[in-house]
Amino acid sequence: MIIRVRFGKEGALRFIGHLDVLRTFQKIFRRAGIPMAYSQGFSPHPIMSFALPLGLGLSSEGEYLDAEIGDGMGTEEVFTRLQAATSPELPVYAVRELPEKSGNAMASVGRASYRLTIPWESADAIDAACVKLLAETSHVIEKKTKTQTVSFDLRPCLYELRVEKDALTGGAQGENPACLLMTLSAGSKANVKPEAVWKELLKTAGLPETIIPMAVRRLDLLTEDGTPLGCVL
Amino acid sequence: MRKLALTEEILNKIEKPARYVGGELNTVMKDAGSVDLRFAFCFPDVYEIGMGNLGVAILYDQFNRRPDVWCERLYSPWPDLDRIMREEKIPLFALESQDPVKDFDFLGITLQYEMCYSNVLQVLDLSGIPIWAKDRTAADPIVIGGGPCTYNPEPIAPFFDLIYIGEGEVSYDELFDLYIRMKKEGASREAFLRAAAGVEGIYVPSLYEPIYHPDGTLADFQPVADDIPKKVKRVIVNAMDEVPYPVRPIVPYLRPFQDRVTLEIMRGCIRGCRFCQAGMVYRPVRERSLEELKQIALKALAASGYDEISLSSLSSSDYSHLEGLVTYLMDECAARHVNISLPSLRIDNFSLDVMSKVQDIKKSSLTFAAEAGTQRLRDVINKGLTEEDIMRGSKEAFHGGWTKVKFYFMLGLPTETEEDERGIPELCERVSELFYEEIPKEERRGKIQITASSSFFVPKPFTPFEWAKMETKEEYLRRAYFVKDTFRAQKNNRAMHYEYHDADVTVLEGVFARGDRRVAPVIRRAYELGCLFDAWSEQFDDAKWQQAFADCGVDPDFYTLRERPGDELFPWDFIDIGVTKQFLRREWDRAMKGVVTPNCLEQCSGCGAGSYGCGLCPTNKNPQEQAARGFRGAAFKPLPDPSADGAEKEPKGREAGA
Repeated sequence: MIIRVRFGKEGALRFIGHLDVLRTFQKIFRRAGIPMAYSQGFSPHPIMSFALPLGLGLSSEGEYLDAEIGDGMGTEEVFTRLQAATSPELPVYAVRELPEKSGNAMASVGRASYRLTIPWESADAIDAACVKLLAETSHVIEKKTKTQTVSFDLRPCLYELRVEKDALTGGAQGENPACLLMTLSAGSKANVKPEAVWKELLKTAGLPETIIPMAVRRLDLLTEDGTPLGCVL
Repeated sequence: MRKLALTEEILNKIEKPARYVGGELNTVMKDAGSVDLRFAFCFPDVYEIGMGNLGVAILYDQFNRRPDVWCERLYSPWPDLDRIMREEKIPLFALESQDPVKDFDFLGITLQYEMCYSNVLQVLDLSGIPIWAKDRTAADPIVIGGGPCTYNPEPIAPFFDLIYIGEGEVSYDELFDLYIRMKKEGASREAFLRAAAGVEGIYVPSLYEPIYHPDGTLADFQPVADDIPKKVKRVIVNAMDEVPYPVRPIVPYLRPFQDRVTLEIMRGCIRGCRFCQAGMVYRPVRERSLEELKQIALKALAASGYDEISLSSLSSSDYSHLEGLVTYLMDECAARHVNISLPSLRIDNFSLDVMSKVQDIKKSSLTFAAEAGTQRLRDVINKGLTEEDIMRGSKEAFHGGWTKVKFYFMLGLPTETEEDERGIPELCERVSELFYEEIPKEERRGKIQITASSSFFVPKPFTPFEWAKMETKEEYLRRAYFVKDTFRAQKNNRAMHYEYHDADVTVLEGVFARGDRRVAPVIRRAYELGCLFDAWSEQFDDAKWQQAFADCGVDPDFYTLRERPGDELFPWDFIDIGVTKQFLRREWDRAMKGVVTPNCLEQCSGCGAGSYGCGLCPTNKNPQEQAARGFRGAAFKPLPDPSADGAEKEPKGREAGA
């Protein structure tokens, strides 16, 4: 049986790299006593794959992994066991069985949604910049790769871009932070980092580039047509 | 969510921030307000190195079993964070609570190797604790050291309030009870330190004073008052099964150096190699029972989720129930997809059979710790491994499909001559020729590959070589070049690879290993000059250390190049490890004659560790251990009568050149 697990990264776990989280989940499955399926060969390893790596420092409530496990344990029991075996900073939210024909998490990812916590004072200017950016038909930026700089059209990669002043604070004003919500292209075809979009918004708003978001949180991963990866049926 | 001591901004710009955030699986969280004693346990090297240390794991588990104590961990900040912490005046913190070390009652530092001494000063300095113990006040934690380097604590003694001599399981409870009681009574720091000197195994450096002869050697070393013990006796666990073992090991997120469950099967070693400090200071051999080990293994694997388990001891082949344990683990582990790693096994039919089942023969290699190139020198150092053993083991392994052989040697051993140095490549040559003789061309799976590496010998306290002289850096390198050249001259030289360790570090290790308190200012000065992470070759800066010696007017040659006379008082002689100086001197004399000494199971040599009355010793009256000791039919003769020490019969042994 192949299962899809939705999990989050909080607190200290934000600073644990992708490969380390992968190794940790292998240990959590063993701690939980869940029978994993192993690859063939002299040094077999558990069959487990992640949807999309998360940058260091980001928290998340929308991470996914697919794992093949032995038959005989229902998804509810797997869920209960994983919850007991993990740590509070690596919470497990849901476990679903993956229908046979559905693609794996990595291949399915098309978009990712993020919430950036930003200074209240910048909220109005950023909000206006969002509207301006979305009104454009194309927005070419320079993207640095390891070896070269390439031109890249950001506009088709933006699905949602808006400021919500009271998303975190319940309407309080003044010194409280505001939120910037983004849904961006993600995965193997086109992958846009929230920090890159933030930079463009600052530029568009004429704000200094030194303003950095207080926190960046991934909310969910979605398919190319916008269905959350957790809706596997 | 737990708070973090470092800001987002810092965590985002340093290398591997996971080193500093804690929160690993199986860490212990408590309410700081509800405990009487907070203990910050430091391994003074980077997280990935320190995280796997078994001693820390054992004591972390033991301390945290007490509801009134909370033990947390910390490691040395890497130079990138070190710089930031200094610039921004961020105090060093413990991983679990992320609270400053300065707020703790104790700072415990484990001293695993001499080259971490500059890191000890970094930890104190970044914590805001005065580096010299004498400058500390009621506002500072009690700084306590422990671990292998404490068998000569003197070069670092002035930095510590207390030093724990022996196995941690024994005296910490008493020390903690004493501290908690005196803290509640409002006793002063001085009063507590004085009282702590009465706890078995606790050495309080400030309560002892060395006096030196005009020639620089130690004249006397006495406590400052009559009620302070003249000798500090090493404390040891009598029966391994009676002390708890950490069955919920911490599982780090960042891949550590030791990424597996460690199963300590026994302490001590029966072998008595004369260069080996561990072989002397952990006597007598004490084993855990097979039943206990089976349970520990299953519990620790289940609680951690590790996919590898490793046996730990000084010489696993000497464990009485090795076959039973390994067979059991292989069955259990196969079902769980867990690998077994078996270090320090003697090469024989059994170990080759096991290795072929748990490792990929094509990738794995045989390892021989031959230590010396000739039988004569192996007899001098009492290394039981003979050329016959090496040849027989290699032959069996070649037929089993192995093609890779690793050798460990030491250069600069006492009595070493050019012939012994030449013996290293020649031994490797004979093993490579054996491969071509034994394995017909059509059956050869790949070429033979021999890797030989040599370190330079550092005489250690409490070994039969504690009197030995070392060589200069230039001489060490000359010998290494000679060995390298001799390798090139071998017929099969293209199948052999030779590497040798750093000579600068060796000389410094030699100073620390047998130094006295006058070395402490040198360490302080080197730290001021910027020395840090000296165990890391890319960080080590010998020129700064040389400057520190010059600035302090301390001559390193005094500690390294001198062969000590038989009656010299050593800085570590106030420690009683059980094994006596008389025994060590007898072993020195036998070494000079090239006479081997039988191992503890063949015949008791009266080393003195029998005074503990436990373990694999004739003085142990425990019937169960008596039975266990009879394993493999080894004859076990009683201790010689101590009153007839001088008249002791020479145990049977191979004579030099035999």
